[in-house]
Amino acid sequence: MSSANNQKRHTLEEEFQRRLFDAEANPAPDLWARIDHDLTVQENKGYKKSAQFYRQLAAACFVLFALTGSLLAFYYNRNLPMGASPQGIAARPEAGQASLAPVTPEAAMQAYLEQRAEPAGAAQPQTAQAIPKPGTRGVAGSEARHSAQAVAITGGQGEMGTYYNAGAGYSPFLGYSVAPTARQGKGFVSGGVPGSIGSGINGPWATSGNRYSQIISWERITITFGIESNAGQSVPQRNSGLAAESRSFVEMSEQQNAVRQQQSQQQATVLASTLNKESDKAAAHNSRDNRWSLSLAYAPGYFEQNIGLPEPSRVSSSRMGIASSSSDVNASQESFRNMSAARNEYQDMTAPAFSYTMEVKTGFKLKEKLKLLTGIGYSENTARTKSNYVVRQFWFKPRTKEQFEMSPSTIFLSSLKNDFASDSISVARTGEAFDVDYKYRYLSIPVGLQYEHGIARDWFVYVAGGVAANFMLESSVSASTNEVQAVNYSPKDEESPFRQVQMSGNASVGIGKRLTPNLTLALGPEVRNYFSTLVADPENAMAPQGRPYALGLNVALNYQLGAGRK
Amino acid sequence: MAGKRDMQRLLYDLYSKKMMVVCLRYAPTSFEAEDMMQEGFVKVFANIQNFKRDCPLEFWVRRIMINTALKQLRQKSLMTVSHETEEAGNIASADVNLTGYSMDELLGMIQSLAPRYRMVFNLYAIEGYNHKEIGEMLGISEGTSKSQYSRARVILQGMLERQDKIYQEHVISQ
Repeated sequence: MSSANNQKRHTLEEEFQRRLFDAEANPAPDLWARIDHDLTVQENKGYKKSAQFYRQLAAACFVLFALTGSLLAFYYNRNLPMGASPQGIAARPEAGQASLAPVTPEAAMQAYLEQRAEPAGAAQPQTAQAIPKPGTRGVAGSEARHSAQAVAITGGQGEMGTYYNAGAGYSPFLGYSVAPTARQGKGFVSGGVPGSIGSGINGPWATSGNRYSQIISWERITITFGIESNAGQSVPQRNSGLAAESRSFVEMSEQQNAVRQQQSQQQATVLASTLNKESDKAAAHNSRDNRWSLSLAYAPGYFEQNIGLPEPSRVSSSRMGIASSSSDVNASQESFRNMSAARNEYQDMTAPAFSYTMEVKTGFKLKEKLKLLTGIGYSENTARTKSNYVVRQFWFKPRTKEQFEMSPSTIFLSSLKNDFASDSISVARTGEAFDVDYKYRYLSIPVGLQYEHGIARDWFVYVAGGVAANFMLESSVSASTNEVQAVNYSPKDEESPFRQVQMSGNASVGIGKRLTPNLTLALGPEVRNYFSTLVADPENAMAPQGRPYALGLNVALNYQLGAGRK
Repeated sequence: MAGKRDMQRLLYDLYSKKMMVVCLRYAPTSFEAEDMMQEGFVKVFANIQNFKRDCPLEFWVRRIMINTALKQLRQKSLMTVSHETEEAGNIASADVNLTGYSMDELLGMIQSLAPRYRMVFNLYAIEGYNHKEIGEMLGISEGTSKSQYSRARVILQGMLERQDKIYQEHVISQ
């Protein structure tokens, strides 16, 4: 029999223990500085961890709002008219320039009649006064320039003209133009007597006493002469070929009426065309209004946390069983058996509890059938195990073998970490089974696409997929017995073994029905898979860690903004 | 925070010398012993709120140091799991007197042992665990623990005998 089997301690052990157990040695002088540095780094890590959570939340919100803002900007930019300045009817002078308002044809005619009634001599100073000047008769400088250009068309004799209209796109006989061009907007009616002061009109017909009127607009220049038989003096016959035929006002008026009618018809045609375009644009506008929708989704389901329990051999290789074995040789084996039984029990008895996800999303129709969805959501994932076993952890005092027991915990919780913890673990069976509830609450920001395809008048099928950033709000492991310590971790809890931010992907397919022109209801199965494990440091966990997933039924109400589909 | 750090410094000053020897017994070199002690004290301060006051604080700190040492050695694969069942030869149980040896000489002897022998010897001879407990702590069988302890003991006795012989030759020559 070897001495190794002999539990009796010999002098060698006693001597070494006497000399070394309470011996002291000076550590390196800089050791405290290194520990201090490590502690500082660790503390900062804690701050960084919580700061990182808020940074990620802020970044996700920023991306969400930037995305929404970009879509809004894109949407509204597309609705802006191509030209900056309105034309045609919209080009009418502003209210502040009321004095520049074009006169009506009736007023023009009235002016003409007044001119007819005036003596020729008296007309001269009036026409001279009618020279457009900035500020006179309320005509602005720019309008005066336009008028001066118009006068230049008639031969550069601006002094002859009396401006009746300087408004853009207006002539007294044609009214407002409905199809303006670059040349439009200048016109006036003038009248006068050739040979008057400042008159530059020369020619055989420009004898003194011949009244004429000229109507100049961008469409046409009409000059009408009225030959005065002033003092019984007749117009020389030689002039008749050159002078315009004198016509009565009635004839002229009829002719002008005919022109006005024709122009009115053209105007009506163009106006109708414009209105049609506006109508189309309004329809397109309404169509774009319908791009936006609001959606409320609710998905109850089955959640699989995908966390196993460690192999009993792995636990026993490190710590299991020491506590029991001190008093009972078979205790360790019993603990080992209990661990195996607890593991089987965990696998068999872990069942999904009520889990759900709620999301409020805004939808933007990218194409006729394709919709971009984003918003904010809340999810609560739970699972439940019925267990008969608790984990007891112990400290031991050397030599005396005195035990110190820590608070009992569930097997699940003790397997999430693999740090220094305790000297030993003992798995004990309780007298009565108890429930262990696992709960994980998340705030999520989803972004996804949904494709819809109509299959009947009010029915459609959809396929949806997307990703979400899930921010842990709370994680807890609680038991229905007082024997086991419940734990509850907040996002700031540094002790939490769970990951604070989880990315997940989801896919759903289903069928929908249009309840009203604006409201649709969609229903279909949904699968949501998390891209990483629940535990933040799976490498150091004793239990095998997988990626959690959830299977559920997606129920979504969608409200289409705008007119909706008829 | 400053106050907290001062208290941590007081705790460090109180136990650092004893814990240094603990780490020196488990580590092969003083540099590694300091690494163990550094990590151990960081764990102590990080988990001080878990101390239940149901055992002496010194014991709690010592246990963390030992577990830290075991963890480090496990990570460095210095503690290869062995399933040796070979029985060591009979070990003489003659009286041993280590009074004439300095602490450095004794630590040097322990440090010169192979890592797995060193672990078992420390846990059994100095910490006071039995072989079953040691086997479960190190993930080896009880028999392996006994076997390795026997070998460690033989080696140490050999070292002591050699030291004694050198000492006696030195005295005779004088």
